[in-house]
Amino acid sequence: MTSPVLHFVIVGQNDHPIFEADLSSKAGDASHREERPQYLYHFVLHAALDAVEEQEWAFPSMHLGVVDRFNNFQVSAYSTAAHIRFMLLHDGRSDDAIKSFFKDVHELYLKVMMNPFFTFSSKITSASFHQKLKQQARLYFR
Amino acid sequence: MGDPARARAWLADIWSPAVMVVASPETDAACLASTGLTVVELLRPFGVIPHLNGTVGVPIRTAAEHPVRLHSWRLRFYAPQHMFQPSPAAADAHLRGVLSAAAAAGVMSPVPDLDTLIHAGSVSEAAPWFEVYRTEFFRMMAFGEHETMDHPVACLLVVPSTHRGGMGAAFEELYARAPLPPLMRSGAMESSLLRLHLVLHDARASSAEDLERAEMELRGVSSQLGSACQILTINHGSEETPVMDPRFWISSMEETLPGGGAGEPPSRTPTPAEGLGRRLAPRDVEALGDYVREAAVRVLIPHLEARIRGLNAHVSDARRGLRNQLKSLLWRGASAGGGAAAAPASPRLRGEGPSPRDQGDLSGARGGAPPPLYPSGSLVHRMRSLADLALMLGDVDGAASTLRLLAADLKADRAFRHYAGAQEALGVCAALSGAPSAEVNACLREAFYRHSQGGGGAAGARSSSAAPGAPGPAPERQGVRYATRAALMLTEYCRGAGLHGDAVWILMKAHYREDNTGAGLLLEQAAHSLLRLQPPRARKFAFHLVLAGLRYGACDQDGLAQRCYRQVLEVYRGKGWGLVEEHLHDVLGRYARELGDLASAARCHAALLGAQRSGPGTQRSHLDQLYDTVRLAAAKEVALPPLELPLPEMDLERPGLVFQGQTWYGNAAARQAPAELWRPLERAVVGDVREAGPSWLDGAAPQRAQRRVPVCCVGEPVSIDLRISNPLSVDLEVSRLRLVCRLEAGAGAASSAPGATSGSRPTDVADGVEVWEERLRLRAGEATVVCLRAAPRRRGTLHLDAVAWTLDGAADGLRPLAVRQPLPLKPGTGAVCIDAARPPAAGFRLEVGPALPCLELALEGLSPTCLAGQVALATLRLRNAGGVPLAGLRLAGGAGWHLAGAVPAPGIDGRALSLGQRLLVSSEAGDWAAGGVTEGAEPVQAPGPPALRGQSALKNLAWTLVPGTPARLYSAPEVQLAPGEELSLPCVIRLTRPGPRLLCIAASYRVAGGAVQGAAQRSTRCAFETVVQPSLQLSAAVAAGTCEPGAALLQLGVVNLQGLEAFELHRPRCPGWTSSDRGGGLEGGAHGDAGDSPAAPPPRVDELAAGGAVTRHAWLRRRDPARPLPADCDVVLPWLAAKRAGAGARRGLSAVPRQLVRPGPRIHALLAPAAPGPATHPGFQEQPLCRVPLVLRLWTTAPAHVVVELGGAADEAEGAGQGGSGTAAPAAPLAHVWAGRTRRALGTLRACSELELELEVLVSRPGRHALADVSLAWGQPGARQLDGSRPVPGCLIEVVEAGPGPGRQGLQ
Repeated sequence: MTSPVLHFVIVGQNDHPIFEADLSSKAGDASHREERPQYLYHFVLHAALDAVEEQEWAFPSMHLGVVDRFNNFQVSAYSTAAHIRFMLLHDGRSDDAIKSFFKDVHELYLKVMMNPFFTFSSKITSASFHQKLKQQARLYFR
Repeated sequence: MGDPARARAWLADIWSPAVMVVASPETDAACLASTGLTVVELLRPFGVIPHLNGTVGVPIRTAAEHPVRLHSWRLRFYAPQHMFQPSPAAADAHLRGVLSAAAAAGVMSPVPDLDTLIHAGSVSEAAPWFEVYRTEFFRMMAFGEHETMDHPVACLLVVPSTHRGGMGAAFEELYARAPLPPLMRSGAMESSLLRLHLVLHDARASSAEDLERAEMELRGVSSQLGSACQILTINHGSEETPVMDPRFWISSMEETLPGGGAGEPPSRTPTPAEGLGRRLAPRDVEALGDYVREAAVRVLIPHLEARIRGLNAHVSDARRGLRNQLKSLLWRGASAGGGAAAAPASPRLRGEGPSPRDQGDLSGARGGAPPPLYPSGSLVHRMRSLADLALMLGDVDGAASTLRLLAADLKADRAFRHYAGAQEALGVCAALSGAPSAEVNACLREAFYRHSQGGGGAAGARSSSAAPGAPGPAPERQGVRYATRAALMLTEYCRGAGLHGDAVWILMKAHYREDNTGAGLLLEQAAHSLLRLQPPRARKFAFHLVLAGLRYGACDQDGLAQRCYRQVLEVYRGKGWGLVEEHLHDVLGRYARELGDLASAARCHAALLGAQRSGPGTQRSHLDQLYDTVRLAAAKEVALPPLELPLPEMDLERPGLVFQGQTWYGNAAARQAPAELWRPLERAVVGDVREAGPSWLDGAAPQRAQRRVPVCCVGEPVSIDLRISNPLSVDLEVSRLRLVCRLEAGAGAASSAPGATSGSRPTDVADGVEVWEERLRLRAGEATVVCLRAAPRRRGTLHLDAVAWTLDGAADGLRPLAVRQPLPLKPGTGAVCIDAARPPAAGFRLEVGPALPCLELALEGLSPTCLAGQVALATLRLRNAGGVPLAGLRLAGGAGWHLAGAVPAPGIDGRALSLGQRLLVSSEAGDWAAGGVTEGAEPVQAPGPPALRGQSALKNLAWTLVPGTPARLYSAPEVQLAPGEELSLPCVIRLTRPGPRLLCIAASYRVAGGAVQGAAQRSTRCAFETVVQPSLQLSAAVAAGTCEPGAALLQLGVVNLQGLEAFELHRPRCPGWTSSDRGGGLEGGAHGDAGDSPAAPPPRVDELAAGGAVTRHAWLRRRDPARPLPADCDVVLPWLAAKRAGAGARRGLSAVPRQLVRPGPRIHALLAPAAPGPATHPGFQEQPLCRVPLVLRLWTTAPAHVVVELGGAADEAEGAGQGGSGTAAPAAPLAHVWAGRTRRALGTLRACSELELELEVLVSRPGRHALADVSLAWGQPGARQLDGSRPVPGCLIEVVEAGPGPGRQGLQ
């Protein structure tokens, strides 16, 4: 049985990913991680950046909804005012749940941003941020 | 933006009329023998008729009388036996071969960058193999059963002029025996064709009589054959001179495939050595062209017009009009009720079937194959023929109206493949007529969808291939191929119309069901279309190309796959998508290795090493992969350039450049020392403070006006401190780590540097620069800083460009230094252009100046740790490491360092020196440390001991103070050091402040004889680190006597701050005073030296244990008693630390400066146990009292009568568990009692005398006892006002029992 796909990434300026996490329930399993085509997820997410840029002009809200698809994968996106993009690769989750998830992640991200030593291009390495993100994912996508 | 006209021309070209060429075997053989071409191949190049009737065109009389003019036309000539569609398997195999051949030439070309791709004129520029593949693909799809555009519109019969027996009969016989196309034999193709008759005369092989006879016979049968009868003479030329370029003929020859088909034979005869068309003269070529043009204009076009009119009339009768519409409606209802599968086609649409002529052939030709769904005589066939013929003549509107009717009928008939074909043609009609793009999209998408469904219904399950003997293709595969064809038509139209988004959509839809070859091509085209969008979708382009590469790789098109991956590297590089880059490099490396490009493979494998997410196993695998490739290249003798290895990680952007300019840094500690430490020393030795950076050596820099360039000297190493680390989980062996540098000899520099090369040609590295190589092993995760050095051997400009190394002894790495360059300066002003573009990152550039002296300093004898106040003897070694002699040596050192043997310069005021300085500059410290001062000797200003003084090689070494600092400046103007010469100077080191200390020494010197112009002075900085540990803490009190002038009593408290070591304390000394620890020594005229006489008892030496404290007293007497007592005095305590393992005795001087001399009491008393340690008692039960001996020491500073009172106050036991002395406990029995008399009169004591009084106290219980009940009273006869008394400071004694016993418990 294939496990659901739930891959989250925060893309900063110049398309640099500053954070990524596998939010699926079996993400911690090493064997599970090995059998997943992680690089394919990155390809899909990176390719969806074109669609995100297109949708940013079409949508007035930060939540852009499903911006791109590839086979059974869907990419939902959320663009902050500073043009930081949250992208979630999934296999057909509820858009309302994704929207709420993105809003909570945005709040977490703002807290990280308040660190005076953090810049837009800094990678987020906070274990606390990762942990809280996984809690939000469990809350909305269980 | 696309080119709509080009797209329309391409679509219209699909509907070119086909002509079936039936040549007699003799004609083909003769033609092949003379020109190397068959009759079909001879005619094909002339099938393209670009300008019909000049620029006017040919007016076409359409069925609807629409004004249409045909300006250009193309005729396709085929041999009848080859007019069939090859099987899908054969076609796919052929297409794969075509793609491989087309890609072989293109994939090796350089990969264009993204901007080039975006601004390219057309997509085909990026993937030229696609055009070749598409052309062949459409050719493979020709001659389908469900469409008539490839059906022949005429039959050209060709006989030779040498034929005997009548031309008419010959043509009839030729036509009767002609091998018909398979579709014609099956009845799906119209067999009643227009016949064109041609007599081919070979001017060289045949005689003029043959020509005359043929003309006569042809004239005889012309009335029977009509106007389409002609004689064509060829081969007027010579054998040696082909008039046409062979490519003229080859361009019209299509590729053959096994089994033939698609209009081509299974194989083609090899091209003769003499070339193609070798006997054709220009007039032959002209005659051929004229014949084809005349036949097209005069025969074919009128014939097609007539045929269209006939077909239109038939279709109008059978399909148009209200009556026919009603009939069709009724039929549709009946057909729908009966089911599609049960009723594949209505009899009305099927018509009457093939002609009686073909019926006879069909029985044998079909071989059991099912009959065509719509035979050539059927209404559907005629409607389709009408539409296709109209489209061939440019009557788009007429074709579209017919196709709409046909599509409706076919859809109702559930013949979906035919329906899809009609929709294809309808889409092309819409495109050619300029209809809205939505209409074109709708028609072609419908065609794509129906084809994708496999044709649907019963019609879709039928094979359209009529290859003789070939098995029927899988319906699904055939449908996919037709769907792809519809998708390609729509793609071409969309690109022409600028609708690249629609093109991407249809290409992505089409690729899903295609095989890997087709899918790869379609994905690649979709990717390139994404770049045509506004804005260009570069990221999606990259992803689509990766998908295309995967498909190419799956069908063994490795070259194309590799090219796809190479094209996308630019999009992902440096963006931080590590997994993506890792995948790309991995795949590219494998492809490159398989294709034999070992250099590229090694580069890709090297790039993989930067992947840090993988585990140790994968990392080791990546390393081994790279090493295998490098070894393979070495085995194949392929010279691999140095790789830009990402391992180990190096901080190439911020390396620390270390070069020796005017200031020479002797060691790393000197560079790390703060500038505040150097500033006073530099000021002392040089006279002015120079900040770091350019110096007077900048005079050697020719570009000084533009930018100050760092300057180094010939022969002196320039180094960079490079931080390298191993990010992997496996160990790395880095060897031959070195700087890559080059030395350019400047013209100006060469003239002033002896031996330098002239000219601006870069000097050979090995010739001009000496480079040091480093080797190290980096464990997993380890980081270190490596110093890489290079020394120029001649003047010029030294460039430090890169760092090279060998990884694990297998792979050579090279990475350029990427130091951020400063902004350029404004010309003339020297200000920075803040708006200018920053120059690209590069390495370092230094101007190499002339050789200069270079003084190296080394301090031998300074241990890593020392005690505060310890006096150490060391040797300062000076060595001239430069290439020229030095002179004018000046040295300056910080506090705590002094050159032994140096004399103070005139004018030095010793009173201005601090006690520490005085201790250093006098020889006392050195003498004491060397053990050369006998105990008891007072400090003297004489030079040090002979052993110390003899080491100094300097004459007239003088020192002076550096104002405002504790530093001293030593000048030795007469000293000269030749290159390589060494000089050793003894020095004394005494550091007092605990903690880590930096002993800084600066030296300045100049070139002996002033050989270098402008080289006034050069300085060397050296810093030596040590850690000073705490030793002794002194507290002193000096009490002056009241009766004897110049005498005082020194009370010195000493605390051992060392927790591990004991100290041996010697007699304290005070400069300007003589000291004695015996009071009697002060009496008499010679009492000052009494203690030092050999006959006197040895001076007292106390042992102070670790952590212990002691109070000592000593008598002081002024050396000059006539002078009044000073207000203060300095106290120095010599000590000797216990020897440690591996170290000698450590001597030191602890001092307390400027202690006030105050009038003190007449008598000083100190009560202490007679023996150190606790007193032991055998048991208080057996002996209730313990006798403890005590000593009361008395020092008198004036003559007095002294009485000692004992037992004046109660003591208090401080046994275990009891409170302190201040507790308000109830009155307890006395724990001690004094033995003997409690009041003792000691008589009259002399001034400055010392007396020890032995006492005994009896203690009744064990524990600690504070004896504070002793007091003194004194008086002086005749001076009652001087009488007084004072308590003696308490003494703490401890009594313990020898062994445990019940009695001890009972007493407590």
